[in-house]
Amino acid sequence: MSTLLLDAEALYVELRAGVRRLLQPDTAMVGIWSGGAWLAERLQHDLQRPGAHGVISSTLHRDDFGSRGLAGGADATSLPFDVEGRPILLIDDVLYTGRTVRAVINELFDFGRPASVMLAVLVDRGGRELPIEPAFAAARVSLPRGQRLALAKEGDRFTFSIQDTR
Amino acid sequence: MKILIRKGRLVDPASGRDEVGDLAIAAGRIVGLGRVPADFQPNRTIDATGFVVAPGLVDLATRLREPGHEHEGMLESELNAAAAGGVTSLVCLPDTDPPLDEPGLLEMLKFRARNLSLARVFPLGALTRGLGGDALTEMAELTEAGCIGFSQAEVPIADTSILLRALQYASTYRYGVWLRPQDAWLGRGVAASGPLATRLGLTGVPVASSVRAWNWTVCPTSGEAGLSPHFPSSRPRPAMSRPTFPPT
Amino acid sequence: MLASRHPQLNKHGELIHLLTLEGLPRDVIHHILDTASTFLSVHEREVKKVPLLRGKSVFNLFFENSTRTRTTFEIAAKRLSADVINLDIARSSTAKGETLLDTIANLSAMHADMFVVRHGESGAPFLIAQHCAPHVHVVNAGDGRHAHPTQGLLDMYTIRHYKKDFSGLTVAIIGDIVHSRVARSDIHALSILGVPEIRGVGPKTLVPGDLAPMGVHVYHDLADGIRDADVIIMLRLQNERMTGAMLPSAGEYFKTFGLKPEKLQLAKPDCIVMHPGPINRGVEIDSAVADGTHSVILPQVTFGIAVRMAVMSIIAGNEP
Repeated sequence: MSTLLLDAEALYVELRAGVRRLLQPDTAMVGIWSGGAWLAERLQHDLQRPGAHGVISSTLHRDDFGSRGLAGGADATSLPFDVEGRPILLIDDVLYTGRTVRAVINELFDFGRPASVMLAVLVDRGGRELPIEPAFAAARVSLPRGQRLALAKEGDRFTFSIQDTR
Repeated sequence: MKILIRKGRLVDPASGRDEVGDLAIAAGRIVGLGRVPADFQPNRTIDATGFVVAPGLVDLATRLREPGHEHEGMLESELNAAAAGGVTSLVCLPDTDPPLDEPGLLEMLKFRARNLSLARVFPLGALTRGLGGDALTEMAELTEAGCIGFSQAEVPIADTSILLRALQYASTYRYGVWLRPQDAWLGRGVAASGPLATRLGLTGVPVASSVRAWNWTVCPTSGEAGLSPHFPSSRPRPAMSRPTFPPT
Repeated sequence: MLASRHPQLNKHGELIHLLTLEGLPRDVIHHILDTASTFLSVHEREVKKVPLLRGKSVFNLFFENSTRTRTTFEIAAKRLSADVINLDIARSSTAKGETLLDTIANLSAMHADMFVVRHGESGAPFLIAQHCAPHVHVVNAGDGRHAHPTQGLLDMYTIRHYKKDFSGLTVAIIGDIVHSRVARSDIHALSILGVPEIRGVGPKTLVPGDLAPMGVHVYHDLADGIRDADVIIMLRLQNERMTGAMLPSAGEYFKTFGLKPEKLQLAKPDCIVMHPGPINRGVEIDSAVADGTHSVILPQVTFGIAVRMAVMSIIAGNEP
């Protein structure tokens, strides 16, 4: 495990500023389990948003069920508001191929028809396999296929780690 | 034809022999066992190193599938299998289809077996017609046709008065009756009663089935009655004295 | 059933068929229960479906009639977006003399992905699992008197839901255990999950002494068997027991072993009463108990759908 020169805390500050500009009064923030959920929780607090943030999991709509089986986090989805007619802002830590976001959008639509869906991420690492783009990304980096970028939480602090998947 | 079988492990229960040695055969008879006459000139020598040389094995309860079950096996296949395993004499059970309760069926069976010349077949005739437990078979005729005794295979006779009469009739001619101790009702099941059958959810046959049937068959009755080798219980059998039938 | 290797686990120890609970590792069972609670929340959504089994064909092969169980499997499969085909086997090819394996071969040729099988002969689903194509998964919906694993799992889910921890429980199973595949599956599951006191209660014709090697304490007196129980699982009494001379009458059974409110007092105050259904009111259970505060019989049905969704999605996602 090595730490890239990605200061997660500094990037979070950038994300917070970017998200503030995207939010409308009735926007619901929904964090993608698990890294995005941590971010959404802190954003909800720091931006003093009313109500509660949502958490959403891609597990039940993933496209790799046939090869990987049912992944963890299947029961993590928790949306304590009515999705119908709401503008939704999805928050995630790392955007890569775009498949997780596709699955999350499908999961979201199982709950109702939102007015709009936007995406804000901490890091966009490129390598898209679907036509999905964030409205805001705090950083854009490029990483080889065999490496996984993951957000970690140590106490209250966020850190990034890079792991080899091979 | 003189045959010499060399260096096999000679196992002969009758004489208690179990040793490595030679066996000489001339004109279909054994002329030397263990040690062979020095002047024996064999036409054929078989090296039996590492093999057992034994008298042909006898299987006391086989099913030859003919007549009626030819889709499961034929006389050829069954007798070939027997010979391949060293079984040279077979006692076959009468639960064919139709059961062996007619002399003609027995004669046909013996004729076919003799022609195949693979193993010797000793059929048991049915004790009751169709194995139905109602009417007696013509035991004298069947014996003349070649059966060596009488059996109900796995079909118990429920009516005990008929069972008694069948044994009495057979004892008239001192015929052997081979019976499986199995109560008609307690014996209905697919596995021995006990923890395993309970765990798997299978209908069990309690030991009482065999014990009850055994007790009835052996103790109160008397006469020439031999019992089949199938006693499905590990409990020791009650002591068997030579039974005799009550005078009629 | 007696094989030392598990026909229902692949080489990674993952479930590819569900044939029996006997011999399953404890964490496989907990994984199924955890997954089931996920699917319970799917019921609360506007869209009560998830696409996990989309494009897959689930064939319900019920050689024994059972509208209830077949319906719950059908609902579960459809909630997973599978295509469900119900085969009326009793009236079709088997009646014409086709062997079980020929039936399976023909159905496999129709590109079935999963067979849900209920059969009157113990062991039939095992035979099917051995002979079907490698990518096909088999779920045992009840075989003879041997096993009913999904019922066992939903019973365990129910107990976990209300009691949380298995390790200190006394569970009493009351009724016709000797003829019950549900009882056998429950007993295996309770034992694997570490329940210390498993009791079998009923007359000697229905509750044999040789249940003891399975880890069951046998009681032939209802009061003794029920005393201080945390969980009571009632079994249905079938009419055949009267004709088979195992019991004299339903009335006498109700008198001596029926679960009535006054008997229920002997159990723990927070005892739960379960029943796989359908219930025979006034035979094994009094209406006051079946409809009373201890009864969790109706929640069991809801849990049953979630558990079956869990089983199907888990096995469909694992490769042989």
